[in-house]
Amino acid sequence: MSSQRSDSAETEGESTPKKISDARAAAIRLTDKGAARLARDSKLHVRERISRLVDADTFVEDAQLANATSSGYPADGVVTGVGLVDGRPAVVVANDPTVKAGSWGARTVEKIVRATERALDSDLPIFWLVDSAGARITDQVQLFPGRRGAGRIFHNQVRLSGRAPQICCLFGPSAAGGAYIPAFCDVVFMVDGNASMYLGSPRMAEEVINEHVTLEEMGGARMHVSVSGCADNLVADDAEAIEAAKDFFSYLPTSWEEAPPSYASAEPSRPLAVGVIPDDEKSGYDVHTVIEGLIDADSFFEIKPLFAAELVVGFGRLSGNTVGIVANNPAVNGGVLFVDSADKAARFIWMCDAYNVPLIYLADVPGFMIGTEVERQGIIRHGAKMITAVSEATVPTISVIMRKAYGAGLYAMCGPAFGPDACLALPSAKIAVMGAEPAVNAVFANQIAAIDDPDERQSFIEEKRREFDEDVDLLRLASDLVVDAVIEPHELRRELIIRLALAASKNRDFSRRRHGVPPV
Amino acid sequence: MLRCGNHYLVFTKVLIANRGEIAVRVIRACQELGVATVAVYSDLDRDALHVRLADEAYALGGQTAAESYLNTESILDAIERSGADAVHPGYGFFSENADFAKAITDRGVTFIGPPPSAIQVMGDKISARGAAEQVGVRGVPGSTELITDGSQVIAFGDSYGWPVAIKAAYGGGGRGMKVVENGDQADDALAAAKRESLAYFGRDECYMERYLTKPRHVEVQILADSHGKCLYLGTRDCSAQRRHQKLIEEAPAPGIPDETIAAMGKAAVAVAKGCGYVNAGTVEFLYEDGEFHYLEMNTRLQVEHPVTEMVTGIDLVEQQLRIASGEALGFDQSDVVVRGHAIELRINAEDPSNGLFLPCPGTITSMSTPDGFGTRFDTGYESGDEVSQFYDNLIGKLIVWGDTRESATARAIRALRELKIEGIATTSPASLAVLRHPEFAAIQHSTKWVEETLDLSGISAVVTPESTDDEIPRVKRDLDVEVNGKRFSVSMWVPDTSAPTARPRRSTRQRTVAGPASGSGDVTAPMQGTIVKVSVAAGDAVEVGDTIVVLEAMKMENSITAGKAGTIAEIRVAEGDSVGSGDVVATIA
Repeated sequence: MSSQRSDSAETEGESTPKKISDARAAAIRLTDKGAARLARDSKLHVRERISRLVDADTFVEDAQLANATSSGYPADGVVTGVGLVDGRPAVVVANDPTVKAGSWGARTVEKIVRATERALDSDLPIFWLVDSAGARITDQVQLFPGRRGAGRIFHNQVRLSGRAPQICCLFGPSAAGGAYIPAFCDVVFMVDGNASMYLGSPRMAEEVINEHVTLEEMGGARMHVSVSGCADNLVADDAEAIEAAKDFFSYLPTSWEEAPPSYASAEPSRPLAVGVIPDDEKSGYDVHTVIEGLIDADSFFEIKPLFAAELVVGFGRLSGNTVGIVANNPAVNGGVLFVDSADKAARFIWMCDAYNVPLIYLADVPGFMIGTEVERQGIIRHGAKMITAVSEATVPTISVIMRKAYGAGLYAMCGPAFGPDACLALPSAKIAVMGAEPAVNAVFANQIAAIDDPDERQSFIEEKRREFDEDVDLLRLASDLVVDAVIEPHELRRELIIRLALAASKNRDFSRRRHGVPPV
Repeated sequence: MLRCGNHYLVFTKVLIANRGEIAVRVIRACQELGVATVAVYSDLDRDALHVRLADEAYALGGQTAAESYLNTESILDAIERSGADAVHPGYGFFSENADFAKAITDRGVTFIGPPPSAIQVMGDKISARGAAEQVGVRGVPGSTELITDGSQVIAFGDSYGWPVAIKAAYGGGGRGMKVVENGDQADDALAAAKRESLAYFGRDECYMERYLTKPRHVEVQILADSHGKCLYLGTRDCSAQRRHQKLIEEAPAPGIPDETIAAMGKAAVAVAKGCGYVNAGTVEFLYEDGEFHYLEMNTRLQVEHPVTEMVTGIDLVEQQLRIASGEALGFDQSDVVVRGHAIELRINAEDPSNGLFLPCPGTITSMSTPDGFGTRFDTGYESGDEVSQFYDNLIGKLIVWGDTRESATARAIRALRELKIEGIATTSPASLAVLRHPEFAAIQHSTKWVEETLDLSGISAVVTPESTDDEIPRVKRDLDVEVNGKRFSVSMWVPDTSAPTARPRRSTRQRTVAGPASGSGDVTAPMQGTIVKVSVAAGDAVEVGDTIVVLEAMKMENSITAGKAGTIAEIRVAEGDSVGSGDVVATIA
């Protein structure tokens, strides 16, 4: 049919079908210049990124011909559509850094807004493959201020939050307004060396506040995953970012109304044994050993491993099912809770609760950090934020007291008062307002000071410490129904599997209200 | 009134106060008898199979059983609104609830089941045992008085048989229990039992009973009409169970002499008549070495009733409806003939891996059920349906018939292999393990067998969230081939390699980059605290991760380690020094 028409087309200039097929080719073509730039930056082409993300032949693209009447704007710099990611549907929004550095024009923004609307209509996850220099100032009236301006993207992202996962791979810059897209995602993977996120560029900082700083220092991947906490995990390159995003997604459901997928169970590589947790409560140990002794082999996906490492959060699988783990790590900063560790925990707990992921708390915590430095940072409101998240979570929850659970640390790690389905203790557990040493020093300060003889003073202190230890002895706590069960380390995995399975039918009603007013 | 066969049923519309496969089973029987059906449903069951099949359906509201199927008010309201003149309770929920039966009967609506008085008597263990003893049917023999002397044990054992269990009168859970094999052990065992009992329970009173080493669970189906006729319909064996939940049932109970079966049948009829029973019921016994001991009576239709139907050819639900409508049983004991052997496998949404049988609710992404000669599958679910965490997780029952136990077993294995359920884990791997076990074939299993002997450690129920996990779908391709100079066109089914497959388990984790790239020579304190140990001296060579100093803060010791390899240029702190967060404690050149 087309061959019949082509005769006349040759005489009258290009026919519409020909123009469309040319435009289609142009929309997906990688120019030589673009290819050279990608090679220089060790980046993958946007279409290669998508093909690694979605299952073969499942991606349907919207508005590939956006801005096709102007030349040099393939797909107007962003590829949007829906495809299957490991067999499950998801919306994909992917900037093309070879098109005007991935900047946003009027149609770019409209395409992204529509993609978010698609996700909202069907409760679909969004994979954000971000690599964009920001807005095209020339298009500002069409893309910035109006009802369907860029603000609508963020508005929709907030409405989607907790309904369906939003997973971000940050391959390049994400500047100014664009920096908010990762901020509203549930997880952000940043490519080491290439990715950056900032409100004002170093050049602008120099101009406006006279600060001299490199791009990497201002908003590089390592800064964000270890200092600001604005991103979660560091990845080496584009391919690893996409693998990590798919791995992350395998732990979550497609929407808040679904359960996460299950996989075949695998015994832990090294089962938890007595002796992993030292008796001396001052000694540190790496809590990863405990986590890996409990969950299915090789199933731990740690989130924010380089940020506030005194608290470890991440997904694992127990007998094939996703669980969220919140664990103090005594190997780092003594496992003490800080401002950042409280924030890290709160966000993770909210995410698990939103997506029906049961929670396991592994507590070995001396409490929240004290001192002027943290008080000035507002450790009280940050701790309150963590406790808010703990209290709000209605997913099946087990807290395990591994060793110390002192003061508000017990509360923040979902102690008995916070309604876990069970509060279990290992035989090494110690629960108290504080440790014996500071407690005796605090309570008997005057009496201790009044004893002149050093030997007598020491024996008085030891006697009081012994009394204190007896008062909070684990058998006493079990006898007074403080803990629900005392479990041997080698039996903990089985206990967790059974208890979580039996808690699956838990009533998840929380309360009738618009929302709380949480401290942040 | 509707005419049906040669009989009239007095009711025209039956409400089924249940869900799942049993609701479907009852609806089907009603439809065959020309009786209209009313389904009730919870919010979660709005689109369930029983709702789709029934003529009318009423919402009960709520999700949990208590809010829906156990909500008397909602069900009574549905009866009122639908105009149903009879209610079938199925099993579970209200089936053995005398108050519910009475509430219905008081409204002039027929309860398809026994009279409330019989439910009441059999609902209480003590009165149930008393009712049986009144008609001369006894449980496991035991002493009612406490024992003080070993000679009492010997006398008991000699008259009732060995072994004998000595049990703590105030105990439980097997503690303080001693099993005595013969008279020689009696004195020592009694002393040990008293000692343990005193240690565990603070009292040393003991009693004794006959100890059954390998009891089987054998039950008798009975049917009683309201005209005084009561018949038994053979036996069932439900010994393959775990945590008192049956896994596999068969009829008849194999390897039991005919005269013993007849004696059990008569005992069951005596128990039923003794409590004025009407409708279908089951009398349960423990059986060992040719002897049977009364356990209890279930005053309802049992889950495993189909195996009796398969070997007797009698539709038990139809008989329930006829009896409830006041008909007399249309056959006699001599008409009940057990033919061949039937086996039922319960397919539950549970993961049997490692013998844990963990509940596994979720969506059945696809279900393909077996059929063929002698094969029946009773279910309340279809592909796409959700097995809710709120109700019993029985998905369906695979029932097979064969002319012998061996052929039935072979058919069960064949059918089980045809059964494909995807999306959730099921107990079918455990059933397969039982069917294939030589001890099951040799009828050497008992009620303790699944938990104590059967090894399920190698069993795994792989749950596939996607429709296909390890099987690549196939597509049809037509090919032209040439054989001996002649062209043929052949169709081949080849793997569709472009199809999406499930994601393999997670393989990557932080493999190429790790650790903050401090790389700085400054070793800093991460938090405020006191230096309790300095581990290196200026001039020492250090590697990344070596401990430089130990900082005590919040009563915890923290090793502060080298962020890069090199030589210690300077140590800026000493033991006992206080440091703030970010203070440099040492430098590495």
